[in-house]
Amino acid sequence: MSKLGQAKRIIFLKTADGQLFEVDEPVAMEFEIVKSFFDENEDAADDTVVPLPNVSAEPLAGIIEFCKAHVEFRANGAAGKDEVKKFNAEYIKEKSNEQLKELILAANYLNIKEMLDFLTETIANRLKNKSVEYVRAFFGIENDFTPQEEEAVRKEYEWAFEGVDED
Amino acid sequence: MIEYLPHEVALCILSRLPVTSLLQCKLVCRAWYNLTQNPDLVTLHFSRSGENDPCLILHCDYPIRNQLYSLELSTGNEENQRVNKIRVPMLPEFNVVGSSKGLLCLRDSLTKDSLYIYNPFTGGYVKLPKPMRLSNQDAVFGFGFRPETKEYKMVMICCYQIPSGFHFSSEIIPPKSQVHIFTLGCLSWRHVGNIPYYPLQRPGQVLINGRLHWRTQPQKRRSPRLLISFDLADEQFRVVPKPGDLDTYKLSLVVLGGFLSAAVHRNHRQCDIWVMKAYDVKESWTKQFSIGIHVPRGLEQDVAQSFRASKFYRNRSSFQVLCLLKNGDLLLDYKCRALVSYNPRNDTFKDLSFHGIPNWFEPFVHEGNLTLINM
Repeated sequence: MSKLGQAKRIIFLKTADGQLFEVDEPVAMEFEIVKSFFDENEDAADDTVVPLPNVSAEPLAGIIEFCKAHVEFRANGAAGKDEVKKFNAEYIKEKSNEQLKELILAANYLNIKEMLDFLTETIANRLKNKSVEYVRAFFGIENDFTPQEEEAVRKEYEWAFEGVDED
Repeated sequence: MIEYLPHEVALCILSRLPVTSLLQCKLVCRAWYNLTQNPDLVTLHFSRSGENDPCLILHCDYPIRNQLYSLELSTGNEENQRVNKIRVPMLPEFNVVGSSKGLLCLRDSLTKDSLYIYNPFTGGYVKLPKPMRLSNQDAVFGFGFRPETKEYKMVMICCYQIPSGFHFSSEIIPPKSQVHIFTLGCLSWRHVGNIPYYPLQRPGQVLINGRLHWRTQPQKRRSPRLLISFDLADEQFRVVPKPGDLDTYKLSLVVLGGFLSAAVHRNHRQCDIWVMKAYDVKESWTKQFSIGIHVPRGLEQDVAQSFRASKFYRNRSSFQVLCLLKNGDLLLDYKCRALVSYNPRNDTFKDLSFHGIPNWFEPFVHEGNLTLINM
């Protein structure tokens, strides 16, 4: 219950795989896409369900966890402090590359700037000094160069291709 | 499995990579190759290049001259790191004057009258117009980037009389050094006046708070040595307070974690690190820690006789502090032969080994990016 005695507003979100999430308003408003939904539909009923056709339940749960913690950090004036770094490190520790990619696609679709910054940084850290083959496999990108083109690009920056991690 | 990585997400990830990893991403696919040429990416990467650990540019001139290598310092996986050889354009034999925001300043080391600005990661370089009478005067250089105006400025300080330190023709005539400035993108040097100091050139740049820093030679016998700064914005020289009452003779300046710092050598093998916590406030100089004796692996023996002729062979300085890494360690260079990471929290040293590192090198801390040089 808030100080004014009003019930905390809950936002309903429905994922692509049909799951319904109930999210506290300040957390849901972190998602730019949800915020603009309500900005554009000012008279939307309180129990309106916002459809999220590009997000499935698993990444959304992860995103809500992240945003909830960060909303609280900001409320407590802890933004930018060690506490936040510790949370972020713990949050990312157990995530597989596959989960990270799902998170970043979902965060991009929902348009959550803070989380996108954090995720792109995390992914960049995982790609540092890795081989081209590793990067391709990481994102599931196909090599669409012709052998001649690849040879030309390789020559262009030959020095940069020595000594990268095999994995 | 991802079928489609949105353009803006790829751009954002690539912009956070160290420059050597970014270059490598050209080979991933056509779309990424095009992305690395995208001016938006170059700009975004440029603005973020300070967020990663810097890279090191290693300059070697022995046994082959004009060799440059790059070394990425991303912490955590040192074991797999390698030194990459850079394709250096055909230039006369050079010395590295300094590095600032992605660009190196090189000086012809034989004729001493030519200067080059060079981006080792794009291969692009320009030769600067010849400054007046550079060849027959001793000159000290500084090179720095000014983010407010996105300008690279080169300052050249020509010293008229070089005091030998023991005999002066006169103590009455004030020393005078001519100051010339070149802004990258302009056509000529500007003479902006004279200053009463003789700064000392040291390799590398000490750029902090928009100012370049040097130690000076004493102006008169027994007169104090000073720390001076040159402000890239108003182009004025100012005296900067020294730590305590230390003689700057034993001091070398370095930027550590965004603070002007000084390594004060107690002797060849030990030094104290002082940090100026509030810029320009003398009282804020604090002795942060002391680095004790360490002999890196392989350095127990002295160098080969033939190397003593090299310009990098400097017996007097046993080690220098290069930078503070993101993990809190200090990067040290021992006698241009070994890189060591020093952990000040538990006072431990770690010898760093890299595949392909040359035997002798002069290291420069470099913030690698793909900025183009506009002339």
